[in-house]
Amino acid sequence: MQAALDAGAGYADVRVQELETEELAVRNGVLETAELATSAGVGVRVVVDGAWGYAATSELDGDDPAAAARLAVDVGRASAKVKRRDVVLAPAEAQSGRYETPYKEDPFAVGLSEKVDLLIAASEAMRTDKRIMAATAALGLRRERTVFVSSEGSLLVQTILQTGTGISATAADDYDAQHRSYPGGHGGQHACAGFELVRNLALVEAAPGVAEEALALLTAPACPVGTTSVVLDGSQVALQIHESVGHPTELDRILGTEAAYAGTSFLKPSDLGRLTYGSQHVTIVSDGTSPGGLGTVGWDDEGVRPSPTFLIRDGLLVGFQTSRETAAAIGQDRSNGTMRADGWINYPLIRMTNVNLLPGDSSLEELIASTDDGIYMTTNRSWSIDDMRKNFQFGCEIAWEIKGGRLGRMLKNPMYQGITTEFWGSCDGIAGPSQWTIWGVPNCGKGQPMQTARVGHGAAPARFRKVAVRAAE
Amino acid sequence: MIGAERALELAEKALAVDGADEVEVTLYSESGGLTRFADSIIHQHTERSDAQIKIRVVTGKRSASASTNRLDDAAIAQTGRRALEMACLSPPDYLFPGLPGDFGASLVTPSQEAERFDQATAAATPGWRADRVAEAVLAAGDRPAAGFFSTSADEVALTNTNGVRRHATFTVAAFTCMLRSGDGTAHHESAAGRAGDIPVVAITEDLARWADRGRGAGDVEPGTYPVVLMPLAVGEMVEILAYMGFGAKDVLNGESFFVDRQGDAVASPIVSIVDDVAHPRSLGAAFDLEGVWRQRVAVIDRGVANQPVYDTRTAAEAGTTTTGHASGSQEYGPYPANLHIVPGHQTSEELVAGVERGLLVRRFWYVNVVNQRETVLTGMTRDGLFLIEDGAVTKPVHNLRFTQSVLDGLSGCSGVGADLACLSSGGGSLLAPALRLDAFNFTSATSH
Repeated sequence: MQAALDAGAGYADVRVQELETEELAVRNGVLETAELATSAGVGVRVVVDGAWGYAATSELDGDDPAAAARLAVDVGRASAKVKRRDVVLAPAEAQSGRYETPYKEDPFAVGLSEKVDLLIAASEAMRTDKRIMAATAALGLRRERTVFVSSEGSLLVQTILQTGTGISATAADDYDAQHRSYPGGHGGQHACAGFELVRNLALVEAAPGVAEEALALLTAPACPVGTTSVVLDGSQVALQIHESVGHPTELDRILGTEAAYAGTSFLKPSDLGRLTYGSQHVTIVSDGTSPGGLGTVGWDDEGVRPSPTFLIRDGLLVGFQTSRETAAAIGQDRSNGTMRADGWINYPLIRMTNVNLLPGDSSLEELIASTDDGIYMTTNRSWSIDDMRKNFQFGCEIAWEIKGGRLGRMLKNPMYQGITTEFWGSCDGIAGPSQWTIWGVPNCGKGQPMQTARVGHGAAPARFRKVAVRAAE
Repeated sequence: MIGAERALELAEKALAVDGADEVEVTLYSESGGLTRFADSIIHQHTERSDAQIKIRVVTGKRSASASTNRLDDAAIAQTGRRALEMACLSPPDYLFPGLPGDFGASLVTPSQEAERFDQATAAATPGWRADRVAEAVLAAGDRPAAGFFSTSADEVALTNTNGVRRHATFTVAAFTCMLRSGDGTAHHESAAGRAGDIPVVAITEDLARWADRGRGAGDVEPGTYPVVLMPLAVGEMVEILAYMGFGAKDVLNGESFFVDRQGDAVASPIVSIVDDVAHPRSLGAAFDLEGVWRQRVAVIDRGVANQPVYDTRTAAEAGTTTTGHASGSQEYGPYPANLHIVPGHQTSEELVAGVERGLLVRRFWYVNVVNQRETVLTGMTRDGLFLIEDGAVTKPVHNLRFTQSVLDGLSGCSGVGADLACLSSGGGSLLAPALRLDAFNFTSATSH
C-alpha cells in the first residue's frame, strides 16, 4: 500500500487472499470429481490522477512485493487518459478487526471417506430404475482468508467459510428427459456454514423421492398454456428475487457502468421513494449480515461493514445496493457495503450480499388451500431476463395443478413469464417465518473479466395472481 | 509468461509423485489486462497475472486432482501428495481408462502455432489499450460508449507419465463496444489472436450508424417471423446449443438431442457446424486438457447430426475413442472449444433481401436452456431489433423474447452468410456467420 502511495496514488487498498476449495462429485455411484485447490495472491486497487487502477498477481514471494502496487498506479494513470471527472468516494470510517464465519463443524476436517461415502450412498439411492440415466451428488467447500488494508487506515482480517451440497436425478426414455434436484436447483443448497449444513439436509433419505419424481415426470402431462395463479416454492422465489429485484437495484447498473454486458436497469435514482415495485406484501432487504447467508461477510471488499438496507418496503422502492463511489454519485453519505470481488485476481464490484424477501403471515398450505385454480411450481430449471430486468421467463423442474384449494396432477416442463413490477404487484401472500429459508445462489455472473459471486436470498413460498404460464416445449 | 523450457521442466518435475501409478500435470499461466469503459470513460481497468499447476494422480482405477498457484518445489510436491492421498481414499471408477498416451498428431501446423502467439499483443500495456478506447470514444462522437479492450498471453504445459509432453502459447485480444444514440443501441464484440487486427475505429463507426438507425423503435407483436440473425446472435445461440448437446457427457446422461437423433437430419443441408482447432481463425491450443490432439469433428454435417465430441472417460463409457475435447472437468465432460459454422456465400444484405416480412436480430441476450433434449432455448433480443419489409431493413422495433427449438430453427435455414465473426468462447473461439431462418418464435415483448 505504501508503494502505491509513494508512486502517486491518492487512495489505495490491498487485499492479500488465500482461497482453498474442495470439490467432490459422484455420478451413478462413481466419484467423478475429487479436486482440491489453493490459490493465493494480492490485489491492489488505487485511485490516481482521479481514475481507477487495479493490478493483481500470484507472485507473493517474488523479489519485489511492491511491483503490483506500482503496476496498479500505472494502470490508473492509463485510465486517466479517458476520463471526464475524478473518482469521488463517499466517506467511510476506518475499520479494524477480525471476522470469521460461524460454523459448528469444519467441513475440511471431515474425513474424505465419510464425505465420499455419503455422496455415493445418495447417488445409489436414486438409482431405482434403469431410466435413471444420471444420479449425481456433489459437495463443494470454500474457505477464503483475506487481509485488507487501506490508505484510510483500515486493517481487516476475514475468514469466510462456505459449504454447498445437493443431489439430482435425470430420468430419460425414448421420448423425454426430466430432471429433479434436492434441496434446490443450481447444485442444491449453499451457505456460509460448516458441515452441519450437509448433515441437516439428509441427502440419502431424500434420494429415493427425487428419483421417483424424475421418473413420474416422464409421463406427466405438460403444464398448460394460460393465465392463472401461481404459487412458487421458496427456492424459486429466491431466483425470482435474484433476477428481478437483486440485479435491478444494483446502483452501478442503474448508473450505466454495466451497460455493455450485464445490462442496465429499468430503475432511475429518482425512482427512490416514488416507484411502486410490488404489492403491500412485498418488503425486501439487502442484508450482508444474515446468519448463514451465502453473501454474509464481516466487511465488503472496500472495507465497509454491510448495513441492512430496505430496498422495497411495503411495495415501495426505497433503497439501492451501493458502493462508496456510486453512493457519492447520487448524493448519499455512505455505502451500504456491497462491493465484493471474486477472489484476489478481480476488482470488487457491487454484488448482492443477501437480498431477502421478508416472510409474511401465511403458509404454503394456506396459500394452496385458498387458491381455487392455479399451479404450484418448485425448483428452478431455467432462467432468463432482459438487459433492463423487466421481461423475465423462468422454468421449474416440476409443478402440480391446484384445483379447489388442493394439489392435483403433477405437471412437467412448467414455465412462467412476466414483467417485473407487474409480477411483484400481483403478490398477494407470502408464507411465514417457519417456511422462510436463506437460499444460496453460487453462480451469479457479472463484470468483465467475468466474475462469479456467491449470494443469498431469504425467501418463503409466495403466491402471484394472473401469471402467464406455458410448457417448456 | 513462464517460457517453454521452464514450464515443461516444472510440469515434468511435478510428475514425481511417489506411490502413484500414473500422473498428469497441467501448468496454466495467464497474464494480461482489460480496459473497461462506460459512459465514454474508463471506469474499471485491470492488469493481472497468475499461474496454476494441477496434478491428477491415478492409483489403480482411482484418481483425484489437486492444484496450487504456488510454483516452488515444496508446494508442488505437497500438491502431488494431497492428490495421491485423495485418490487413495476414493472408490475405484472401473470405467476409468487410464491416462492417454502420446498418439496422433497435431492438426495445427508449426507455422500456424507460431502465428497464434503475437508478441505485440502479449506486450500490450494499459496505456496502449487506453489509447484504443480513446479512439473508440472519439469515433463514437456524442454517443455514450461502453465496452472493453483486453489483451492476454496464455501458456499451457501438459505432461503425463505415459509420455505426453505438450506446450503451447497463444495470445487473445478482444474488443466489445456498445453505443447509445437516443433510445437506439448497437453492440459489437470480436476476438483475434492479434490485437492489431481489431479495427476499433471502423467497428465503432459502423456501430454509430446502427445505433442511429435504432432510434425511435416501435412495438411489434410477438409471433413467428422469418429472421436474419447477425453473427453475434448466431454465436450466442450456437454456443448454448453446443453446451447442451454437443458433448458426449450429455448424451450418456440422456439429455442431448444425439440420444435419439444421431444420423438424422436435424438442420437444413446448408448448415454444418464443425469443431476445428486448425481453422486459421481458431484461438487456443492444439491439444485438449488431457494432452490429446484436438480432432476435427463435424458435429452437424450438412444438416445431419453426425457425432458428439469425446474425452477419454466418456469415450470409454460409450465404447469409442476420444476426439480430443477434454474440458478439464469430468463433471462437465467434453466440450468443443473451436466451433465454426461453415460459411455460405451471401452478404447480410442478400440474406435480408430474401425476407418479405421478418426481423433482423443483431444480438441475443441471456439465452438459456428451456428443454435440453428438444434444444428449446429462451432469450431476449438486445441492442438492435429491426423490421424487414419487402427485402429491406425498414425500422427499429422494441425487443422480443424468443422461445425456440434451435434445431427446428436451423431446419428452416435458407441462407448462410459469407463473413465469419470470431467470438471468444469456452477457452477457445466460435466462428459464426449470419443466418436466415424461415421461422422463429417470439413469445413475449418488452417496452425497450
